[in-house]
Amino acid sequence: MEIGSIGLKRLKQKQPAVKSSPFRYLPRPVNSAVSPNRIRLLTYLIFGLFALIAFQLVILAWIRQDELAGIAKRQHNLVIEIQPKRGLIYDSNLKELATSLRVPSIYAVPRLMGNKERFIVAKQLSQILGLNYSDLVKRFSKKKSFVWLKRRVKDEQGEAVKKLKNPNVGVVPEYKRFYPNTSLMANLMGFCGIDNNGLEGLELKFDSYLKGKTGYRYTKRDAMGREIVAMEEKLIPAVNGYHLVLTIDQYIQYLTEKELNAACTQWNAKGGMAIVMNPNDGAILSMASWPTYDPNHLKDYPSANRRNRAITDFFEPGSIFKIVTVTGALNEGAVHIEDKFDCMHGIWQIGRRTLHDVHPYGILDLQEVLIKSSNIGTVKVAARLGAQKLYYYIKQFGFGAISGIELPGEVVGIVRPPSQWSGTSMASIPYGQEVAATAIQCLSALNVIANGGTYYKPHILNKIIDDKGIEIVTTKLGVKKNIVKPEVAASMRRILERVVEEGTGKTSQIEGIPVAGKTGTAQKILPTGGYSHSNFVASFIGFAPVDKPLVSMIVVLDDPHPSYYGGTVAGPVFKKVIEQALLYKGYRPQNTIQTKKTVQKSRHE
Amino acid sequence: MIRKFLLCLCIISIFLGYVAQKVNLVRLSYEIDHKEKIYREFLEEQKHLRFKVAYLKSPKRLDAMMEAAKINFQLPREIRIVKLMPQDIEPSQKLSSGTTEEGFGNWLNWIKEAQAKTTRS
Repeated sequence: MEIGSIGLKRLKQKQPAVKSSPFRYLPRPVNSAVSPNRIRLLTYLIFGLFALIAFQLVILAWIRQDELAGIAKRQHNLVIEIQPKRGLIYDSNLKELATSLRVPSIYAVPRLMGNKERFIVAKQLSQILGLNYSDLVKRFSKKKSFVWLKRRVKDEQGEAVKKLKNPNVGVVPEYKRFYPNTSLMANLMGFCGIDNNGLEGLELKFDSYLKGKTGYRYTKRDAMGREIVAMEEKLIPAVNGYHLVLTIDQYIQYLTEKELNAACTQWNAKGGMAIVMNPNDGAILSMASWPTYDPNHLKDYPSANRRNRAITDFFEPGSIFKIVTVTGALNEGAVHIEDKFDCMHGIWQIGRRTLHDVHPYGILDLQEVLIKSSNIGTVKVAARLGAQKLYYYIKQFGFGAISGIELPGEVVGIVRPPSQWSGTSMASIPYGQEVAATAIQCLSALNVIANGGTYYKPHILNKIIDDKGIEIVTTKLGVKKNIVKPEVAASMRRILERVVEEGTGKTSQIEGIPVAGKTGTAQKILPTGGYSHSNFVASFIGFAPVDKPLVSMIVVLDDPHPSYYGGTVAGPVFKKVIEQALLYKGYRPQNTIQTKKTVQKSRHE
Repeated sequence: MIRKFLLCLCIISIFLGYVAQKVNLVRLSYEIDHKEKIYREFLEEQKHLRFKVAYLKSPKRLDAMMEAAKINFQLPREIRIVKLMPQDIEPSQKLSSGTTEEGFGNWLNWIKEAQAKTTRS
């Protein structure tokens, strides 16, 4: 018998099947040395393992699907916050006044620091950043995952920290506000806090326009944490902050601050303020306060230096308020230019009150009352006008209400209604006592006379633009027309011109440029009540040139000494600033010599 | 057999190509990211330089420099304005204002050369 045929024969023989066994249809090895039981056991094991794998798959892919997908998302997905750039602030000629630059901020991860490392790192960083060593050690011992050490430091400090190459100390760039002109316009522009939010001045008022909107980029990252730009899923772009274009002229601002600073220093004033405006539309060309500060080094100056005195400080305007009284009386027809007033030789008893003039005057006409600044004459003019009408014109000229200028912190001043006036109020208010006003209110009132009778709301913002120069917001002029008749305004301009030519304002005369203005020397109120005889607020308010005013200005010095007259201390500031400002703006003084000269044209033309 | 082999080769090539594309995409992303960082650095540098220019041009600083150098500029006390009047040009060169010369191809009226207008002095 052949072996092959025997093997084939046996293969063909049916093996006895085990009915219940799942393996009954599997071919069985013939004459195998391995026992069937072992094979069976192995098979069970393999199937069991596969069952385990299948079970684990079900758990991972179905039962724990959400949890694991979440973990994967957290690992792979990346949400990047796109910080918007804070808007810039420009002057009227688009010169940068405020900008944001990237500077390093230093952070640490104390949780990952070893015990010995803490002390070494603290010593290194205290030397680089100028921080207290023991404070740093304390902060590192708290085992937090993130702590700021110092924000917005100098570039050199950031480089020095990077050179340490410590994985637990990092440098992250942040934006910081810088002002290239240092203290110029500091009181006006304000400053930003540690998180780049405006805290004072224009930075605060227009913070919502300047700060912009944060954007987000939803993308993926690789195992090293690097962004994979091509796998960006969604982009919400950041909206950069808008830019402010002011009405301020940088050069005129500089002139104003320079001369104010010099006057306050010369006359030992406690403070000073000055504003230059365009009387034809209420645009502010400069606004200065003294003392001031450098917003790039905020901590080096006292906080009192930060306020914008032109809108936050009110004072009794004194003689410059006589303009309101006389203008109101003229407009109502209560007095005429040629009317005469007996100034009682400088002393006038009204009830319990005694009025004084600086010099004893006899009979003065209306113009001379202002030129010589007679208190008694002004009170007599007001008596003809009447209390109600006087109050009406005080309000029409903008006193006792905020001007609405786009700056925070403006105060209203003090103007009481006639129902609250005392028996002597009509002997005080007409020449600027018992009322309190801000510098901006006084100058805005004078502009009514300068421009022929219209009250313009003062404004400092010209427009708001975006990165491409498209106007987002344009300032609309706030106009209150016909406060006084044009002919009355013209008469007042002539009178105020004579104040400068013949009266108390001679120090503000400018050669070749006709100037109109009024001086003020107001007694300060004592803390115990009553008026001081040694502390004064000296002021000068005026405009030029008289016929078609281009600029108006107010200068106020708080408690100057030894001299305290407005004409002496404030008038020269007006003269120096306005003279240079007008030449800068291209105004030709009256003494300009004009000649003609013939020249031969070039052949190349 | 050969057909099956070729088919497998094609399928594998397609998959390899797909993987290579994805890898290139990621590599390009890194390059874009790198270039964007350089671009941002340049923008920041430009901002720093503009700030520096604004600081250097600030009137306060310039005034302090002039004072230190004792350059004593004064405001003009007398202002003169001299109007320059161009002399009459020679008759041969005169052209009446608003006329244009007819250029080459005079008989073709639609061909004209534009000439800059000259005004008589």
